[in-house]
Amino acid sequence: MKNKLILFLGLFVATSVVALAQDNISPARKQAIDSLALEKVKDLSKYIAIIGNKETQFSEANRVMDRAEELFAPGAEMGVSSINTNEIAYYKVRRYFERLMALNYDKVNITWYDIQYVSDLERQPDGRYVGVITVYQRFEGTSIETGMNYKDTTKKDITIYVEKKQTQIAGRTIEFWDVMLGDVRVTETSA
Amino acid sequence: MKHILFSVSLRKALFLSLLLVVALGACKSKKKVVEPAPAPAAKEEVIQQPAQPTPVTRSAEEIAVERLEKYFTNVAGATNVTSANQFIQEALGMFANQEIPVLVVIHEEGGVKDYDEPTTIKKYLDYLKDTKKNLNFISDIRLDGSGKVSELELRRK
Repeated sequence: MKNKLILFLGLFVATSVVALAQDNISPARKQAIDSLALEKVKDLSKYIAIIGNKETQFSEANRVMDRAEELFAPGAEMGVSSINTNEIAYYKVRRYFERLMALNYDKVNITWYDIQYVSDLERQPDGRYVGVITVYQRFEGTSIETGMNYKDTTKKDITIYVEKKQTQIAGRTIEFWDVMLGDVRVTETSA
Repeated sequence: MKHILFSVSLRKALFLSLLLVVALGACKSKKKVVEPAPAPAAKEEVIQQPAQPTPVTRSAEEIAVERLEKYFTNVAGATNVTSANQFIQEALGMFANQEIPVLVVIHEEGGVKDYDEPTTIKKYLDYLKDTKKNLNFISDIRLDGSGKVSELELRRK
């Protein structure tokens, strides 16, 4: 019985030491990871502006859609709202991009601003870091024929997942921080 | 007998005179050799002139980095897609192929590098075109036997 207790305590201490060692990230390294994730969201804002822009060639829009989709975790969804309804529709990100490209306007202008963390990246028991970044999106769509002019501003929360992964490059093992964007939830919509 | 002695003295005198003439002549000819002495002064002037700057020899890697940094700036700063694509095609000509991996170091601490997700040179150039952000500089470059870029490592500015 005494031996079992010692074995149990030993395992507990070893597990705790490993967990503490894994969590031992310096503030400078954490800052670099935070900045990396924030930069990915800023990249997404550029991609969305390109996809939505009616002057973007079809082939370019499709290429950018591929790049934008790569930023997201599999199955991630994007929320879409309107000032004309209280409903918020959620689409898989690829479907969202395709709908965005096909919007029935002659001119579309989308800008994201005030991109910042509302919930810092925190280490989860599974080793991943999870945080939330909020953005404001200004949408302006103009149709020359119908004279339709729609504008809105939406506040969106994006869940961020950061995980350390490994890959082989030219025979070398490279450890990298993989940033994945999760669901994009609409929290506010105004004119 | 006296005549003989006189004759010998006369010969000696003539011999000595001849020696004196030869010696003087020798001195004179030596002086001629010495006369061009100012020449070394002219040589000194030449030496004192500023040395010609030797051309700085740069490695193929350094030249490639300079060219590539310029392409990165041009792609990110291109005012339209057509000119950006032109710069991209020119830049890709420097690489062994479009799939050459590009590593981006986001942080380094205690000799351990933290990387962003590895990408390829084609995707990285497209990234510069799409986002118009040139956030990184070249920290390491490798060329293959034909002078094409085979490995590229970037670092946050």
